[in-house]
Amino acid sequence: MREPPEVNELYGAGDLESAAPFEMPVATASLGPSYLEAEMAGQPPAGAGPATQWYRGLGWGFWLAAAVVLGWVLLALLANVLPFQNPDALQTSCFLSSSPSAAHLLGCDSVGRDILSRVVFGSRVSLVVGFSSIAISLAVGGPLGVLAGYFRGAFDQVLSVIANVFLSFPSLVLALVVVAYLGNSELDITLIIALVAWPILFRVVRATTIEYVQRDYVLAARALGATTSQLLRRYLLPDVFPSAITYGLVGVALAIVAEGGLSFLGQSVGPPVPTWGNMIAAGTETMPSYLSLLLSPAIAMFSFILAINHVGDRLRQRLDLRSAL
Amino acid sequence: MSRRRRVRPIHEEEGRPLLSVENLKTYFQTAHGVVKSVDGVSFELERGKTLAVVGESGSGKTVLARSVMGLLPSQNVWREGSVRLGDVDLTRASAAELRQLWGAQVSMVFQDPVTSLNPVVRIGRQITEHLQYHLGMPRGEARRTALSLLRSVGIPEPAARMRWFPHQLSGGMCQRVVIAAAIACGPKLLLADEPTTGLDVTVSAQILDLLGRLQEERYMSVVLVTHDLGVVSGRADEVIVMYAGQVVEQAPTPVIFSDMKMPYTEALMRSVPRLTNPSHTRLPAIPGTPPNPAALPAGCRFAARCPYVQPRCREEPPPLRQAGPRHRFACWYPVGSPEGQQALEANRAAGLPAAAAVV
Amino acid sequence: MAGSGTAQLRPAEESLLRVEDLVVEFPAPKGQKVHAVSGVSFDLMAGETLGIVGESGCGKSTTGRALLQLPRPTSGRVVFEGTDLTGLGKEALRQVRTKLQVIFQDPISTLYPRRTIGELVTEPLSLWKIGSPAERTERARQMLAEVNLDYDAVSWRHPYEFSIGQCQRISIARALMLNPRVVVCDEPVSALDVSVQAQILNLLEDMKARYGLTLIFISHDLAVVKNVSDRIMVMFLGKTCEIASADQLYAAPAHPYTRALLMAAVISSKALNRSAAAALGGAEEEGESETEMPSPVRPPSGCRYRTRCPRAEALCAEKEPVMRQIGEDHYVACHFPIGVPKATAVAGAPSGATS
Repeated sequence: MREPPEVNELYGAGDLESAAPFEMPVATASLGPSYLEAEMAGQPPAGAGPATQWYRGLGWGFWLAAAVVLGWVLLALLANVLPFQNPDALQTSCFLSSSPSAAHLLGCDSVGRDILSRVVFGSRVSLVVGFSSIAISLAVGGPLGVLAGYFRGAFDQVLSVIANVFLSFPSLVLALVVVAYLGNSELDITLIIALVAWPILFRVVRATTIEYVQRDYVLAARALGATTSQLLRRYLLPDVFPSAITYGLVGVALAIVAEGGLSFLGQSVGPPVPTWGNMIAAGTETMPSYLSLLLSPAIAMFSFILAINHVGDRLRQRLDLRSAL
Repeated sequence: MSRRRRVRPIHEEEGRPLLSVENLKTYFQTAHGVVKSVDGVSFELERGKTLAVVGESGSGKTVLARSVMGLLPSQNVWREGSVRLGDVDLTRASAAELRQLWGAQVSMVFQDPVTSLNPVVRIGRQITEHLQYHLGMPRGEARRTALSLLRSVGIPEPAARMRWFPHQLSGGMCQRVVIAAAIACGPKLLLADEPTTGLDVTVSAQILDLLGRLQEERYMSVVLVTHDLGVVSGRADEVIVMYAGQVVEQAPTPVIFSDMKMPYTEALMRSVPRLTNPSHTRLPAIPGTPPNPAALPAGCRFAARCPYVQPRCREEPPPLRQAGPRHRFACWYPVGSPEGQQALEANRAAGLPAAAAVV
Repeated sequence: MAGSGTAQLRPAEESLLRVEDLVVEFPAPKGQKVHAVSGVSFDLMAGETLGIVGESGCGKSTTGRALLQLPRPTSGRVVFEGTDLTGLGKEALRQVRTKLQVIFQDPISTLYPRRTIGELVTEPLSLWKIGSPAERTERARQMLAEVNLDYDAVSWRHPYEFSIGQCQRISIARALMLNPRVVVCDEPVSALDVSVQAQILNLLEDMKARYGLTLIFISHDLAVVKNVSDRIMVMFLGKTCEIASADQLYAAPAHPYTRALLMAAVISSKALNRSAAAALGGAEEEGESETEMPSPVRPPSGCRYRTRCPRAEALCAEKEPVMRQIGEDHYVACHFPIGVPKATAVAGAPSGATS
């Protein structure tokens, strides 16, 4: 820091938003917000706009991950429309060949089905189960969490006990038992994962709500005469919703892993419907000769989970940073 | 137990001040541009004297104190100028040298005593660790020294309090402990950054008295950074008034109160509510806010708020001028001068709001 | 007394707001209680400013919030325009809220960071569904102009883009949107620099005159309180020490604690308060020996100030002093007030004092 840089160098630093966050632990007190001040009370500073745009400065890693997530979602949605082969069609011309060809980019499995198209169609089960189970958990755990965190008292205590009871079951055993009773359709699996996931989201949302309820602006709004429903709608939901969504994204990854695990154990949606989990299970049988059978679904699942975790994580960091402002 | 002393010795030169800061600049690079927090500050401080640095938040007074000490973030900061403590230039000292200077030769007391103490370490240990590290004192001796230090800063029942944790003490008591830790190794220079902001008025008076007493007993030099002009009187030998990163006036304390030259000093003093005012007295406020330090005006930085402002002030930055022995100020139309009076009259006639506020 | 008593209250029918025997307790570990406010009574005439001073932990902010029922006090009465707020139902209390507003110490954290200034200032109206959006904007424009801010320049920005002083202006504009009668100012200038502090204090005085407001001004800074208040109440550890008109209180403080506060303020700013120092001079031997606040969980018996009081005697530990009149509009809760001969002081203390 003793090397005096050219003043031009200091000024022309390019896109400062995307640069590393400016660490100023010891100097913040005296710099304060006053360096944002304009000359007269009535004239606020110019050009502070970018700070209000949430998507600035997330980094290329975030956008890559977001593209991967979006890509998989589009593939799953449009699998029927896109020129993929029928995942269930048995093709004698291609039998247990993991060598890629023009017709079958990833080769075929032991009964002659195209692996690429099975991986794409297999994403449907994983994504549907992953997103919808978390959506159900959020729909149940979110509102309950907000209400418990806002009202506290007996209502909160009862709900927290219920959530803790759910959390204290070993989730895999619970899932296996429920599958045995309910069955293993897509809907059943979704409900089972939702059953396991809602108390976690409930607790996250409740804790976030409790933190925000104590903020001064909530007190100020009460002093203005805001009703309970106004407080919840105008203040707490906008505060809690983004963090619930980001935790939800991480939850989707966990739900997909859970579905994959059940599927691997043969307890999820079964063959012939392709899922990433049952494809991996089938792939292990032909190990190590035909690696494509195992690696194709595994890499698909891995890429999606890594990407959605990263998206959720970066968004959460960004939110934390902003609420600390 | 190591008996090694880890203190960088300082040799004071005959006839030279203990601390001399020359043209110190400290700039921060932020998302809003380069912030010139300290922009060419010079001053000298003799052994055993107190210098008060007065300014509003954002004036750069805290950054100045930290820059003198060398306690700056490692990134996005640029410092120029020299800070000589005896024969050592702090701006050129290595990290290892600084570690042997901090706490031993230069200490700092921060604004918030509760956060400047380690919450999970007992009070006694926070003082003995300095003694053991810098002076290589054996444990027993360090304990006895810490005990007498706590007693000398006015902590009741120091023997019992040694075993307490910071959260068990009130803010005022914590500040006493911070001071005890700061003076433990006998520093020659103590930097106190708003040591009483956030403390109650009764407590703050006692803390300031304590600092004054310790300074006299230990013949320390003290830099007292504060936003409160009231705190300064009777406690500082000299006062520096800072505005937007620069020194705008420097004078011995009695002079700054009786014969200030810079309109900012005058305005600052006027805007303090007095106990003697009858209730519902209208305060002569300074209009506007300080300039954006990332986009400073060309001329005098106080021009936009100044009741004496003239066209020249907006174009040409006034240099520091000598007004008397040890009295410097930066203004083209100083308070109490004929040209200043004329400027004020003209502005009042023109209906400048800042001038109208000066009665 | 720091004591209780209601001698300082003026006739109920004349006051706009009357607080009687306000008690606020919070639960503490091991089934104990924090006695934050213990039996405080005061009243406000329309158009008056009451200053509440004391050190941190004296219960001044808690008192301010309890009278707004944020949260509701443990016991006591808060009578506003003839209605006891403590007995009101949720909806009725909400209706009253429009007339009682509050300005907080830290304006940045009381302004919701997700909203623009325009949304924040019109919010009181939109919460109450008053007027059309255009009318709300017009009113916001007018109120922001009152606090020296230009609606077009600020309305689309967010609170964190402004300095604390500017945010405090916005908070003031927002608090006045509903035309309140009483505004509780809870340390509104404590976070501000002197130059900005003077601007905000002047602004509050202007707003008070223009809108006929009644103010409660809570601060730890005696000089600030003196400058804006008609009447001042000094608090110590949840109790009232002294109530008097502002000039009377500073000219002749009767409670030893008031004197100690004043002396500390004067000593810490001698050069600025030369004449005040002269007025209080000669009493330096009566300074406090200790400045620690006793625990609000287990407050001292009798007078809560006695552990710090240079004039304390045996009586102070036994009996809690009760508010009594010692001059025109000058009330004190002390067994041995300054400037009152001792014999009268003891005889004057009512024997039926409760603690």
